[in-house]
Amino acid sequence: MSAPQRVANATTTKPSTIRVCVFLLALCWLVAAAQLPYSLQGTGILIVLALVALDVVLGVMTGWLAFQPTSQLDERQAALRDRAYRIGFRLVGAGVLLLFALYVIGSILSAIVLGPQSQSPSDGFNPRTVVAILELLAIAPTVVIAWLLRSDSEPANGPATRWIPLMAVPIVALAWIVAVLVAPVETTVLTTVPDNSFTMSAAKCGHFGVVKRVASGFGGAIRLEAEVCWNGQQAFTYGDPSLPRPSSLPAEEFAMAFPGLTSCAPLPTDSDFGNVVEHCTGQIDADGTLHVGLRGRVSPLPGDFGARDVQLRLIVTRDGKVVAFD
Amino acid sequence: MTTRSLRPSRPLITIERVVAALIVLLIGFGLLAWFEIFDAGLIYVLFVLVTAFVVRSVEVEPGAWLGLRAVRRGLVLVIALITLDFLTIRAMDFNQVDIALLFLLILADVALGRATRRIASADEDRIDERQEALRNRAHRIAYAILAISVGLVLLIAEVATPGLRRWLAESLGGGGVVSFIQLLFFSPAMVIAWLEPDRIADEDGSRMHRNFRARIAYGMVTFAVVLPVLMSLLLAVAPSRVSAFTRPEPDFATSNGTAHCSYFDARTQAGIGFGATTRIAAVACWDGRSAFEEWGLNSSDCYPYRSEFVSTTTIECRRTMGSDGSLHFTYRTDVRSAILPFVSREVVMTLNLTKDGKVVQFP
Repeated sequence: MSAPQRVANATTTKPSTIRVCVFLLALCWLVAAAQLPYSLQGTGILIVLALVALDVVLGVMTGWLAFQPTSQLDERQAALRDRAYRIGFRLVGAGVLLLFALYVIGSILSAIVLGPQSQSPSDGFNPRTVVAILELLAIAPTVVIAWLLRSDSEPANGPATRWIPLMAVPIVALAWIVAVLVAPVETTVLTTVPDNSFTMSAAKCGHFGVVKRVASGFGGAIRLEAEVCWNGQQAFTYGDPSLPRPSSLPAEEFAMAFPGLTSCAPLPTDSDFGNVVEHCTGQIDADGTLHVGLRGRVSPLPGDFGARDVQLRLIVTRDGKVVAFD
Repeated sequence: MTTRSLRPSRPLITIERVVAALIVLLIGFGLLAWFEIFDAGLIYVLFVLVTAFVVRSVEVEPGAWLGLRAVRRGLVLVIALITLDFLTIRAMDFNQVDIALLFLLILADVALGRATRRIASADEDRIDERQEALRNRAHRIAYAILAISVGLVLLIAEVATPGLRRWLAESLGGGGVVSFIQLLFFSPAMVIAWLEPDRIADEDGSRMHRNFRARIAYGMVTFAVVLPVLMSLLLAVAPSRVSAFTRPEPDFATSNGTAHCSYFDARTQAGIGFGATTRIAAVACWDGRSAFEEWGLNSSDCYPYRSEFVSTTTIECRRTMGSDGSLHFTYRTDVRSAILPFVSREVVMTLNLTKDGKVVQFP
C-alpha cells in the first residue's frame, strides 16, 4: 500500500507520532515568526535546520501526498489532497495574520523594553520572518494532511530509501556555512540630505544609514544610523552622547540619547543568525570635519570560526560635504 | 477497517474561526491605535466592514452576464491586471488614479463573489459535492500561484540585491499590500471564475432574491461608494474650523536681558470627515529687542497634523524677522481631495509676534 493510500484509508483517533511532529513544527515556526525573543543570539540556523528536518519527516510520513501529480492518485486521494490545499490556504491566511499580530505585539513590547530602534526603510523583512513565510507556504498542505492522518495509518517498515530526503538537512547546513564564509558582504546605504524630518536652529542636517549584511542577513549584520548636522563651523552627530559634541554649541543640547536618530548598535534581529559586536569612534578635527568610524565583527559560527570583520567610515565637512561614506 | 468521512462534523476550532479571531484582534489593535484620533476614516472603515459582513450574508446568483465564462474570465483578467499594477505603487506615489483603481478592484471583487456565488468561502453545508470538488481544486491551483509568486518574489528580493530588498519593502508599504491581500483572500474565487463553464439558462434559477436583507445590503454598498464623494465635496463647501491657545513658558536670560516665552498652539481643520488638520505648535520668545523662535517654526514643522483621503502640498513655510525685530511665520498649504482631485482648499496659518511679545496675528 502506498503512503497516499494509507493516508486515504486512515481510521483511528489515537494521538500519533505524526501529530507530535506537527506540534514541534508549529513550535519551531512560532519561534521564527514571533518577535520574542528579540534576538535568537546566533541560533537561527538551528531553527531553520529543525524546520527542514520536520518538513522532511512530515513529507515522508504523508507519502508526499501534497506534491503528487493527479495522475498518480486515485479519486479519493486526489479529493483529500485538494481538500488539504483548501484548508492549507486558510492556514496560510491565518499564519500571515498571526505573523502580523506578533509583529505588532513584538514592536510594542520592544519599544517599551528596549526603547526606540532605528530601523532603516531599506531593511525589508528580517531573515527570521522570511524563514517563517517560506516555511508556511512550503508546508501548510502537508501539515493539514499530517493532521488528518491517524496513528494506524503511519508507515511502519517502509524502505529506508524513503528517508533519503533527510539529506536536505546537512545540505542546507553546508550551503549556509559556504554562504557565510564566502559570499561577499552586502552593503545598503541610505542617505537623506537634507533631512526634512529633523532640523536644528542655525544648522543643516542629513541622515546617513548603512547596513552591512553577511549572507544577505542570514549570517548577521552590522549597522550605523547617524543624524549629522553642520553649521559652517563644525559637523557633528546628534542623538548619541558617546560621540564627540561640537564645541560651537551648548553641551547640554547633546546630553540625551535618541537612538531613533543616531545609533551605533545592531538591531536585536541582526544577531539572529550570528553573534554581532560593533563599536563606533568619532572625532571632530580642527577643521570642523566629522570623522565617524565603525568596527564590527560578525561571527555566524561558534568559536569565532569564519568571523567577518567589517568596517565603515563616515566623513562630513563643516559645510555638509560628504567626503567618505563606505 | 472503518472509513473516515472526508466531511466530518464541524469542530469548535476551525481555521475560519481562527482567521476571524485574528482579524478581530488586528482590528482591535487598530482601534486602540486610532482611539486617540477617532476620526471619520475609522468610522468609514468600520462601516465598510459591516457592509461586507451584511453583503456576505445575502445569497447571490450570477445572472445572465456573469454566468458567461467569457465575461467571468474578462473580470478575472481585469482583477489580475489591477493586482499587478498595485505591486509597482509605493506609498508615496499613491495618487487619484490608484484610489480609483482600488475602488474598481473592490467592485470587481464584489462582482467576482456574485459570479462564483461565493462558493470559495461558503460553509460546507451550503454547497453540493460538485461545488466542493471544484472549490478544492481551485484552492490547489490558487495555492500554487500564491506560493510560487509570493515565495519566489520574497526569496529573490531578500537574497539577490539590496535594491530588490528595498523595492519589496517599499512595495509592501504601499500598493504591494493590496496585491498580497487580493492574492490571499480572492485568488481561489478568481480560479473558480476562470474554470467554471458557461452556466446553462435556468440552471440556477432566478436572479438574486430581492428580499429585505438584499435591499439593505445593496443600499449599504451604494452608501459606502457615495459617502467618500459627498465628504470630498464638503472639503470645498464646509467652513474651516480653527482652535488656538497660548501658554506662558519659563523665562531665560540672554545677552540682551531676560527673554519671555510663550507656547503657541493652533489647529485648522479643513473639510468634514475627509479633510486635513494643519497645526502650528511652537515656542517663541521676545526680549524687547527682537522676537525669535525657540522651536517649532522650521521647515520640518510644516507638515499636516492629520489628513484623511486628501493630499496636502505645502505652498509656503517661511519664517522671517522684520526690521523692527518682529517675528513672522507663515504656513500655507493646499488640501486637495484624493477622490475628487478638482476639489481643493487653501489653508493659511500665521504667527506675527512683536519684539515686545504682542501677538499681532495668530493663527
